[in-house]
Amino acid sequence: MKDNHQSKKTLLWTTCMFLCIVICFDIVSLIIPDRQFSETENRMLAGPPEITGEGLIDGGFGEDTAKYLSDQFAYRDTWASMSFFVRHTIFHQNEMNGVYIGSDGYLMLIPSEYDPDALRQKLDAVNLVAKKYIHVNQCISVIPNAAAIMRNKLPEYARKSGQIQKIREINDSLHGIKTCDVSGTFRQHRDEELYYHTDHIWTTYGAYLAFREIAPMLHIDPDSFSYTIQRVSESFDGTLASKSGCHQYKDVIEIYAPKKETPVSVHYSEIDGMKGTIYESSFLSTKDQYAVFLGGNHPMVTIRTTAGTDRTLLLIKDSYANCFVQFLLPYFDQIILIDPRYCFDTVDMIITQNDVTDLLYLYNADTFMTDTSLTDFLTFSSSQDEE
Amino acid sequence: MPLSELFFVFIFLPAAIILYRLTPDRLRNALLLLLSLFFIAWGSLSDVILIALCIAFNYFTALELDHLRRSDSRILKKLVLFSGIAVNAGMLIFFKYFVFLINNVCAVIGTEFSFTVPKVPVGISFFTFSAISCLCDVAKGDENAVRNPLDFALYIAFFAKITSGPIVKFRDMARQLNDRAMTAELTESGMKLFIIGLSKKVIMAGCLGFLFDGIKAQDPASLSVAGAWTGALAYSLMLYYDFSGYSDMAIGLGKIFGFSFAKNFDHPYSSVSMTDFWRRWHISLGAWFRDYVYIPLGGSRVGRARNIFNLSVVWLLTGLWHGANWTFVVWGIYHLLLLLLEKFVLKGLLDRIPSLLRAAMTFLLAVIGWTVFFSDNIAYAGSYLLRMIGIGGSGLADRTGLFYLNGGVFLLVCAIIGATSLPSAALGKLDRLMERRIDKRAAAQLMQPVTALLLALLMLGCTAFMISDTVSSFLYAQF
Repeated sequence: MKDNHQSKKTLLWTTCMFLCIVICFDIVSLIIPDRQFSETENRMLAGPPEITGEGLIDGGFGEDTAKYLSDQFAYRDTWASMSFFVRHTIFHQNEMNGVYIGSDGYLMLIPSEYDPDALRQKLDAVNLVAKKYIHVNQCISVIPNAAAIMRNKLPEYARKSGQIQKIREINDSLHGIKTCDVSGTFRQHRDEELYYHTDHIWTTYGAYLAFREIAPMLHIDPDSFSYTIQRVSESFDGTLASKSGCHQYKDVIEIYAPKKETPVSVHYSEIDGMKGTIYESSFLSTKDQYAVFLGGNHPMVTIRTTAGTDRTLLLIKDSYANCFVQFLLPYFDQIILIDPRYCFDTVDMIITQNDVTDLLYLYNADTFMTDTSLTDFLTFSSSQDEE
Repeated sequence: MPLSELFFVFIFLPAAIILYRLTPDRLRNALLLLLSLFFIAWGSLSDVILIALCIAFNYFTALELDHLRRSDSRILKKLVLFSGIAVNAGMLIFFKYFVFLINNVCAVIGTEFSFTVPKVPVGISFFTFSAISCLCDVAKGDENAVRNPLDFALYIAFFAKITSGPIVKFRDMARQLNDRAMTAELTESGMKLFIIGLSKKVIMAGCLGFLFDGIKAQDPASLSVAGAWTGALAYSLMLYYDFSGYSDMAIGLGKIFGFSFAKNFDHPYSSVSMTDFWRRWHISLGAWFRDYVYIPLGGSRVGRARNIFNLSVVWLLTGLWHGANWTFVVWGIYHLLLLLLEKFVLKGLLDRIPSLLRAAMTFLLAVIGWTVFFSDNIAYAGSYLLRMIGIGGSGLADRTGLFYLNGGVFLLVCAIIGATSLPSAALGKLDRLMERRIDKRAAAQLMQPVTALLLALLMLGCTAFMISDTVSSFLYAQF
């Protein structure tokens, strides 16, 4: 074994280059302090691995170290964009981790598979509640997702969602409850900003268009109030950006505040005290900027206003409704928002205790079709009463 | 720890290179062994114990065989050799095939019996084959047993090759254990090979993996012809980039530490016949089966019937080596039939077909083979193959198929071109052109830093993929 690299003309260019690269990045990674949370990826990052006997024997320690090194590697986000560039821009990969990379920077959630039996049970439950509370004005609007409306922005040959047809079928199978299908309106306006580019949620403008459609069902005139549109963020990087690793577009968040201000008091079920506004501007400086509306999802939110209409609205909803609520404030004395995914109360309890006059289900189609907590929320109470 | 993991590339390897350079000659094997044990222990400490036992057993068996060979006691030598092989093969069978065997026996006699075997130790298919190679070579007198237990341990456990080969024959490595040159050329070419292999594995196989995974996630009953072919092509290319990339890395590492291992892949998708394909695909495995199974059985210097039997044994074992599943057996038989057809039926006929057409046919046949290979069971394989020829499913093309084909066509074309010998031929031509235009020395002086710079860029690309795809693991590690 002889080291004779001096005697030959070959110099260790590649080897030196390799060592320089790896050692430099190692040192920089070591110097840069560890991050606990990645805003770009919207997840907790791995911390230093713990040494345990078991971990050493079964290789768990090695795996943890690998995760730690990868999560805390210097410029992690830049590396991720680089791999996104190779995959998407060079090799035309149009789908990342369940997200379609559409044109004009649109990211769209690939519609999830749903269980037809579970959906039927859910619709039966809605029908049951409609029959039971005949004196309550009940309405439902299932909002199509971006992939069903902005077909022109989807990658070529992307799977058809069939959502528009499905929403029609859902509406047809409901009885004793008013239905509102916004698909037609949304299709007409599909070249406007109805959905965020980087999140699966609709924009406030999308919600406003839907509000104008839904208003007649709630016996309210959408034109009786006008709104001041305020741009509160131009840097929203939504959950689809995190999921897909595509961070090429930043979204604008707008709020529509009624010009005639209605004083409100907002109570979140899991937080003590009242707030004087539905806007939580502190979230604008975090990753979850959409939480500017009501501070995100809560099991139950009670909003009291001075509208003086003697009407109480029960809004059973998912995150789509968070930015929708602002349009309803001038029309109801009380609005109760229930997110069945987190709420363990029963629909009967809420309707009877609060003297509910109106009930609105507001969901995006994907959640409505896949999430089963609504069925539990509706049927659990009904069947218990029957016993 | 896989060679393509961030920890290996950014911490283990630079540390190993630097330590190796700082260590005096006589201690270098000990250092490599220590590093190898650390490497194995990193994955699981229990594997180290198993591998240590395997090393100890084979070390003493090899010494005994060496002694018996010299003392001319043939029967005893055979006995020791066979029991040595049996112990290694038994270990492999226990860890890899026991559950499969029990399940099949139970299915035949109609009972149920559940039995769990400990986790399959890393590289068991590779290091048991290395050990058998040593015993056979020593028994036959092709090579003397290694006296130094550390050197022998390094032959079995060298971190470059333990996880996924190549299966270096004992006679090819034994002398290098104590006499190898550390030239700058070797280190440089090793490093280059390592980076190229890494990019084949993490970038190309990573991108192709997306195409394949997309198709594999579909219900095979609803695939279209376009979808089925996109998936099959993507898998065939992914497997090539994954495995040949990994082999390049292992061979590159060998060179960095002074070992010369023969190449494991030689542009297999440019082969002009199936026989040719198997001379170019996973060369070390084919050579192992040839030297330690086929030739000892009599090879082709026997009657036709016996020859067919010998080939059948080899291909049944080759199929099974890839995993404990009937699909691998079927895949082995498929290749056996193609080879028999070429050898005994189509002998003269093939030569009359233009070689480009033959290469295309061979590639197609290989792709069809891989569909059985990647199927989870025979039923899936059957269904998938029917979709490829348009029987059942969603016709010629459906949205899913077109989505992946449309997105993947550029990648597939790049991957196919990259798998042929065209890129290296083009580089060679550029080299010659440079040498003709400017003088040889100046060309070399210019090319070295330029190559290094390009490889550094490639290395950065690999890093991006290693960081963003933390979950993807090596395909062949499961075999």
